[in-house]
Amino acid sequence: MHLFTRKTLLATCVAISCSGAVISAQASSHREAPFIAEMPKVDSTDFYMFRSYEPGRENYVTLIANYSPLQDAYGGPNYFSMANDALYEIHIDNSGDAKEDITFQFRFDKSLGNGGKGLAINNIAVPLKNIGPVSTSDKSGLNFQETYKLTMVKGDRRFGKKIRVKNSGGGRSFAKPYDNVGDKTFSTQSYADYANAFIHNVTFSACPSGAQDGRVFVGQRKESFAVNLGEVFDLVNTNPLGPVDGEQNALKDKNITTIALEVPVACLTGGNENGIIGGWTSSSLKQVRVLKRRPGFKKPAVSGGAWTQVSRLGMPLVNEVVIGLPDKNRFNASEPKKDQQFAAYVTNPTLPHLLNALFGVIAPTVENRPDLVAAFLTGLDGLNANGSVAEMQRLNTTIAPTPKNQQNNLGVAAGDNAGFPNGRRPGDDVVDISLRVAMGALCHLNLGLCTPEDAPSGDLPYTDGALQNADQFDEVFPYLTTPLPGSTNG
Amino acid sequence: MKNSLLISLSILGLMGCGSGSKHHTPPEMTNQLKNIASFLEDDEAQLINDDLALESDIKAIFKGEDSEPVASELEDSIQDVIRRAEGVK
Repeated sequence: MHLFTRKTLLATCVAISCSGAVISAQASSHREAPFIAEMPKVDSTDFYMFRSYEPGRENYVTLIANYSPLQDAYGGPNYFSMANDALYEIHIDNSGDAKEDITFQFRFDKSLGNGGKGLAINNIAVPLKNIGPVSTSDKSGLNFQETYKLTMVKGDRRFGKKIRVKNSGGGRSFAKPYDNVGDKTFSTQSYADYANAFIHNVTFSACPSGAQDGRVFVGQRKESFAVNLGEVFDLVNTNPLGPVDGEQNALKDKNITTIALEVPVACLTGGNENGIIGGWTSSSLKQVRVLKRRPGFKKPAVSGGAWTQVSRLGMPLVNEVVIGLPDKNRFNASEPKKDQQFAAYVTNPTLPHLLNALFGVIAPTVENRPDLVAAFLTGLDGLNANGSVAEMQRLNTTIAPTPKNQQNNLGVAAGDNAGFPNGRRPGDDVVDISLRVAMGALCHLNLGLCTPEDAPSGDLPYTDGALQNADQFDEVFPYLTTPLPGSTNG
Repeated sequence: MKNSLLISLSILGLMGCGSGSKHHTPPEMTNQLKNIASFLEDDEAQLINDDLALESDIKAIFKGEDSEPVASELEDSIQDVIRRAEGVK
């Protein structure tokens, strides 16, 4: 199998040594479409899929789907629970037909403290979600708890065989940690230790024998995406050819809610020959929602009808900078198997032309952008192409994970074949990579997709200036780090 | 456009164009969902006393959670969508 080589790394290093232009970027998928911006609890923001690089866990794939963007840690008194009338899903295609073969479904529930009655003082219900310190051993001051159920579906996500995933005790319910309200609430136990107690061992009984164990964690984490967001949206009010760490990460003081799942490689590939899987996340709401005139705590609306998808995310940045504004809502409601309807956005991207108009950089001229088709729709030949033509992340699981301290944040383009776009790790700087690819960087890498003459400005070291690398993350599951506290003076 | 409609049946947004009448009382229908959807945006919001009954009435029209979402068109009113779900449009 031909894979990207050190020669590619050299080519990329040469390519990024030039200068002279500017370019744009957006947050991976935070509030990227008009409709989903109205529903933050079900807004998928980032999706990661990589061979686990935690020592001793190399035979697993980690899947991470982030939701509920731009959380200010101090966002009390309600903070950032998941939607209990939504369906959150992670889909895996292991047969190369752009249809899910495995889906992991998450459904959430919430309850008040005191056995669901709610904490009270003098028989009057308190207005807060906690009224005392919280720890794993003492939840008496906690007035709000979330749990979830995890179901594995084999086959079609709606009509396939559904098998409940069990925890280590054989139960089917998993607890989710309370958000990091602040240091006083978590004064008797560090939030890191508290949250770690919510990493659950699970059994995937629908997986082949010997590949049924894994882990799951759902909870608040520090925002994992880095981007110079404000200046980017201000008509690219930054120097995109400056230092890769020369600007502020606008999301550095935000949190996110993470769904993290660790699954044996052999379970996800289903024994296919090439070891390549595709993956994406989605969220859905029931099609009908009737608001209550007198809403209660647990169920302020009555929902029914079919699950109707409202968010979708595979490759980062696609619905931001590729799909046109009129179709962004529709893209979020679509499935990869029907991506032909969006093909023109990839073969004739508008972003390079916008940048040309703004800054004079030259948009790639190659017809139908075979470089972008490879990057976003088919995978790269010899690396992670598997025959499907659809937008999703693709991971060749036969490629060994790169240890954290050896990862290159430019991934495959820098010779680190275990990184983006062969899946995506938290430390991969997908903004810088995607900017360069959009402007034709692949045309300068002798891949047979296009030529340097097709992308005269494609060899520039575009960056948003917000650094993203593996040092910013943990080496162990769930990799994303402890969320910022809402208060630090407790 | 198919499969992309989240129908928010708030009484405040049912019809898209209020009649201005303060005493609009549509004929009561057996199906609670259809009944709720028949009110205008300036009418009094309807009380929901039985969640399970309403869920059942929604399911009777829009089917179960693993079914296909009902298609809708750009200019559809909620009544149009209900009629389409019932196969009469």
